[in-house]
Amino acid sequence: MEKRKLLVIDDDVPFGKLTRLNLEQTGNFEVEVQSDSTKALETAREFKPDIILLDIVMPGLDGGDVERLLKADPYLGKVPVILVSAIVSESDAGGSGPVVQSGGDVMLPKTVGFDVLLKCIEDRISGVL
Amino acid sequence: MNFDPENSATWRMFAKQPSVPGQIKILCVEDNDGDFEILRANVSEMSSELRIVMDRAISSAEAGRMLSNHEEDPYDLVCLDLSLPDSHGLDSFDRLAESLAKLPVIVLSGNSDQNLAIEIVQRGAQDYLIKDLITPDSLQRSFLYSIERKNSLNTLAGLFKKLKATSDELKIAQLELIQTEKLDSLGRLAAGVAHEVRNPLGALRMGLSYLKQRETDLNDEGFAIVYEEMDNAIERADSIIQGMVDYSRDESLKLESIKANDLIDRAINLVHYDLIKKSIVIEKHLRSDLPSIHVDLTKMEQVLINLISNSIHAVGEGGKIEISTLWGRISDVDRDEGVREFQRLRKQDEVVIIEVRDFGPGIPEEKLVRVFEPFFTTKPTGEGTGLGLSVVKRIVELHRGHLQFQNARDGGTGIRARIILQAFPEKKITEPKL
Repeated sequence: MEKRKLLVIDDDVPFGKLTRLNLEQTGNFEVEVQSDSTKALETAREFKPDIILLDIVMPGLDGGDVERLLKADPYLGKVPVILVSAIVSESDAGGSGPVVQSGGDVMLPKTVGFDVLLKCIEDRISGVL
Repeated sequence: MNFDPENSATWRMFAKQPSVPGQIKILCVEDNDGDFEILRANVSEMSSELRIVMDRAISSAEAGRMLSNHEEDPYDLVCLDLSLPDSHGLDSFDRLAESLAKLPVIVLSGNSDQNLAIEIVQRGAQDYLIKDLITPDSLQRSFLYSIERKNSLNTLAGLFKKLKATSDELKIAQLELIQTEKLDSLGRLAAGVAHEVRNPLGALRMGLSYLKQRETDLNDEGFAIVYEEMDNAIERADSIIQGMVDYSRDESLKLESIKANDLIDRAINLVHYDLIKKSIVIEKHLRSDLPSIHVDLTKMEQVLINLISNSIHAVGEGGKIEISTLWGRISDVDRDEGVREFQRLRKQDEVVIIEVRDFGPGIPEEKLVRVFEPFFTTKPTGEGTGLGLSVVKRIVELHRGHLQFQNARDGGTGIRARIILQAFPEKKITEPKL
């Protein structure tokens, strides 16, 4: 199966590294990590990801800003995004799992394990979410 | 006396004012016929524009009776002679003080008790007149001035009362605002800490997931245990943070009308699994005629779940929990329970009470006083966050309710937790003041 391209935009370097490790380990993903949100768009245009994992609270441009910029881009606007938050907890999200916000955004708490993250990524790519 | 009533200066002075009455009803308390006659003569010479009806009492007792009889149609003015057959001087005034509270009083004095008259004016009478020196004009002026002045004083008293009430409300609002600001900054602090800690937690979990994938490469038996413990630790740290965020959040309430019994059923439903797992029985004593309560459903559910969970933990395997609902007026509850503080509810308020009682060991008194402290818990480390009751208390108080948490005093052991909330009987639909 062709590998999917996933871009992680998160200022927390360990999280980015480990997420990449996990994803690449499945053999199904090619992962790029960008920890500087101001370079996010540039990286996205070059890498052309199939899906983006976007942290919300970041210095400089935050997740909301980046999301707006992505949506404004004619090509990048079509790439599905999963928001990741360190402020929302799993219980807020009603047990582990993604939260679909009004407006269609999909959000995951940062402390969910990899299994949940993977499922969410697959659902998002396939269009289920 | 050259007095032309039609041209009296007094009349001209008052006639322009909108509040000059067309008729004045006076009660004259004067036992001396001669003095009364002088008064009457002066009155009849007053401006014909002003109609005066004068009743007479000849003792303070009779005056008292006439004042009470005229409550529906009160006098506009009282003229009070100081020496009466059944009372003298200050006494005359004091005796009638209550009936006279809202009425203008003019004291009639002789030459020799002028000082006394002045003292009575200081006590609240509007004016005094020396009988020998009365003229129609001075009498009329005194009447009109006294009535006007008393009206102003009454209006002023009313305004002052309103002002004080507003001032009190503002003070409360100010305190609440300060509290809100404190909570605001606390909330931001909590969010900041939450973010800082959750990032490493997230990384830890990702790391664990990775290691688990590679588990088959490692032949270590201990590995499964290590993995599970680390995973649990992350879970626990995460819930502590959430408890802290919950505690500091200044939450606004989405109020809905519900019957307490329904709320209880919903909460029990949510802890159903725990109850079965530990074979714990919940005995319900729910009154069927409760008025509604206005609560934020999610938050009040959280409160009940928390209290029930505490009880489950207290009674252990096979234990019993009792949940009751009652309603009544504050003073009844006060009297029966010896409870003294109901800061947000007032005496005579109708309330609904939800009681969760467990038959566990209870909590020693010295620990009981600390029960609402954040992070205080009687459970061993690793079980619970210690934040439950502090959040519960906050939520109940946000609803302007009252939470009691005591060892039961009916001979048995265990904790009795009571939530006391304002009742909203069906007929009156009023919004609680938030």
